Amino acid sequence: MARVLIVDDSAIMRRNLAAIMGRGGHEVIGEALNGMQALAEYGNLHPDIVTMDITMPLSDGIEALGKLLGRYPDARVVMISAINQKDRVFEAIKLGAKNYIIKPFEEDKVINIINQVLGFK
Amino acid sequence: MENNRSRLARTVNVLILALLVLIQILLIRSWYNKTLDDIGINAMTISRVVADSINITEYEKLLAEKEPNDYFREMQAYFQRIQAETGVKYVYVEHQISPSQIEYIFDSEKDSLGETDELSTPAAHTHTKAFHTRAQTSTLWGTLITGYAPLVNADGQVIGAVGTDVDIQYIYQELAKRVGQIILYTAAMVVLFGLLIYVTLSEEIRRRRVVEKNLKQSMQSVKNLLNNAGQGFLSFGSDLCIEPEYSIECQRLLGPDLDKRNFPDLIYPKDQEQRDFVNKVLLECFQENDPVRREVFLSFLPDAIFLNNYYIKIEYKFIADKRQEETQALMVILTDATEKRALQEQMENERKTLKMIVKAVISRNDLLELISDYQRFCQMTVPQLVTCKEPLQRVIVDVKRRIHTFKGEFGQFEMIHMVRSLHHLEEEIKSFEQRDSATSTGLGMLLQNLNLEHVLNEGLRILQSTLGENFIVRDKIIEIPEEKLLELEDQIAMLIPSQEANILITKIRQLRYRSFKELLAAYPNTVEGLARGLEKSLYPLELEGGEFPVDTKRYQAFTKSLIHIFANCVDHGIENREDRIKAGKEEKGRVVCKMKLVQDQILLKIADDGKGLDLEGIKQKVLELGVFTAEQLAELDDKDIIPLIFEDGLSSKDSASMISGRGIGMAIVKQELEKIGGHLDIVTNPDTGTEFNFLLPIGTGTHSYD
Repeated sequence: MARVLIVDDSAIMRRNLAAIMGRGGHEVIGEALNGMQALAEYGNLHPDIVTMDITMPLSDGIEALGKLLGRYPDARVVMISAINQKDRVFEAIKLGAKNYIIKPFEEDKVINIINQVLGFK
Repeated sequence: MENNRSRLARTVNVLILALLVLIQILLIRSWYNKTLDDIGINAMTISRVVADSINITEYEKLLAEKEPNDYFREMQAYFQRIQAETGVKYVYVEHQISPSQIEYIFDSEKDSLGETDELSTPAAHTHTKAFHTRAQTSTLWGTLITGYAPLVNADGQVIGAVGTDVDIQYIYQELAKRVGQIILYTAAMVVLFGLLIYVTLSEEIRRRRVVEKNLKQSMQSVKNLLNNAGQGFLSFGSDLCIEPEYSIECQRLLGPDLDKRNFPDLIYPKDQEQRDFVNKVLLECFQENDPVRREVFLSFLPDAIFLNNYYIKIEYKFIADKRQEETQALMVILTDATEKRALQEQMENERKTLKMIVKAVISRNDLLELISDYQRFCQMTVPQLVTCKEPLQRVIVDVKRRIHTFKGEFGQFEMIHMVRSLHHLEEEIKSFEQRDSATSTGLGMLLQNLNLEHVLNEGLRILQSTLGENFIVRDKIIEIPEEKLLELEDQIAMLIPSQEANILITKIRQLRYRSFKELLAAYPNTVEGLARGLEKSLYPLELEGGEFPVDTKRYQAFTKSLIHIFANCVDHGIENREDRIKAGKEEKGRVVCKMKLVQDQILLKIADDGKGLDLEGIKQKVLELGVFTAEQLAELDDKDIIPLIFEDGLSSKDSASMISGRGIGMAIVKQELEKIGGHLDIVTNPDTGTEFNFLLPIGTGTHSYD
């Protein structure tokens, strides 16, 4: 039962992901629409895990990741990406993201990766 | 382990050997020294005895006078006797004149008195010592040991010394012999030792060889295993160059020369971008120590590639590096999935086609509307657009928009062929647009060349081949159940005066009309089944003609009865293979069915190229049944015999088979034929087979039927 922060500029994606999290037994404690918000919400809520969309208009996912990890190096971040963004996702992992999920979502896969990053079995 | 132990053993052996040699040397030395000491003591003792027997007074007299007298001669004899008895070399008495000069007074060797001798410096030292110490001494000169005993006069002065020289030459010989023995002994030990080493070494060498052989065999087995696993195994370290031990499947999939080749180059020979990415990821993998993160990085590597016409699946695993135990190598497992993938693609295509068909069936009307829209667009709108006065820009935009819309709409029906063609169309128009020479006539020609309608026909082909040509019909179609039409006919007949009614009924009946051919559509299948059951070899039955529309209800009963005709052809008409070949016919038999409309008659011909009707058999049966007498039969022509096959109970088969032979079938056919007012003409010939030529009136349908 983990506390999740969802960072995505699309309301539909956020809702989707929230539903999946719920069914997987985790609680969504906050949502952010861009990197700025993400930073703020993280500071307020200190979630167990963050999901972050890699392409967001206002502040790019990689940049946001960098800022978040800079301030909170222990943050566990999972990147969400579309199918042809391998390069950028790789950069994100190198930067310090723990794992990644490719859209469109397969519910089982999403929960597995979240649990693995959290250290649950 | 073995190595160290044997090395230790060898060292210990060497040490023992050295020790033994050392002991031997020490023993020899002590023997040597003792022996010399003993001899020295002996010599001294002899000197002492001699010294004690010398008369000092007489001696002094001799010393002073140097004249040989009786005492001298007496002493000389005594000295000689001593020498002879003790076996020493010399016995003598010497007197020191000066530190480096002495004179001999008595001497067992010489007979003179007072012979002098010069001494060398070291000798002088020793002599002086002998003269000045009052004790006895012995010294070693080369091969002599001399034992001295001083002669002391009454005043205590040393006035001479008795010397006894013993030759110890033999001692040296003895020593040499003993040393020789040691050397021999040592040599023997060395040889023995060498043998021992050799034996243990060769034992070890043999053991090592066995181990090596076993190792080689194991390696060979493993290699065999890998080579036959059907998968390619290879590995590389952080240099990304392939190690020489890889399974042969790798060569089949990736190419012959793989040693030390760079892995990213190998799997992406033409794609620089991918190569660079793989390189980047691999380097990161090798640098990463956290195994969890490393697995995440591995996930970025391609899990399948297309190479050399193979579709290859790839898995990655980190393993211990054989060269250094600290570092790791990456093992790559290649699996040939080409066939599987081709199959999957095929299945995928079939699934897509199925979806398309289902959609077409479900939303048939919508599809038909779309199709006619498109056709209108092609046939009318496009030419209009091209010739109208609008600016070219607007026209192009219009056309593009319409095509794009069509693309989307056909997409909804999963008609990917259409979608693709229309997409291609869009591209063509786009590139046309960008040309400077774009004119409206040019556009017109382009659109003409692109043949928009043809695109549609191609796209519809699959639907038509699966759902039938009638699926896509251009006119609008309303479906009415046949029963309703029959009801309608009856009602018209009841409620409307006959003249009008007839006209109306005719029109309605025509709605029900279908092609005559349809009535016999099932027979090709049936005939195939018959042929198979009867083990006859036939060409497939082809229905020729019969496209003209008829009131199928009218002929249905008759055409259904034709099964007996077909059965007859296959069973009795067509001979088996051997008979056909014997008769010089084609191995495969042929049954044909031709339908033609001539004026107001339907000509239906069913024929086989078999052995014709068995006329004799018919005659026989007729006799049996008592239809005719023998005399009557004799008067009949062949032409008249033939129709007899329709007689009830007539069958030239003695036992009825499942298919024919009950003698009923033909009679039924005749019955039905008469019901619809048709005629039959049979032509039969043992060489060319049998022809059933039916004539059926087409009728205007004014008669009712049962």
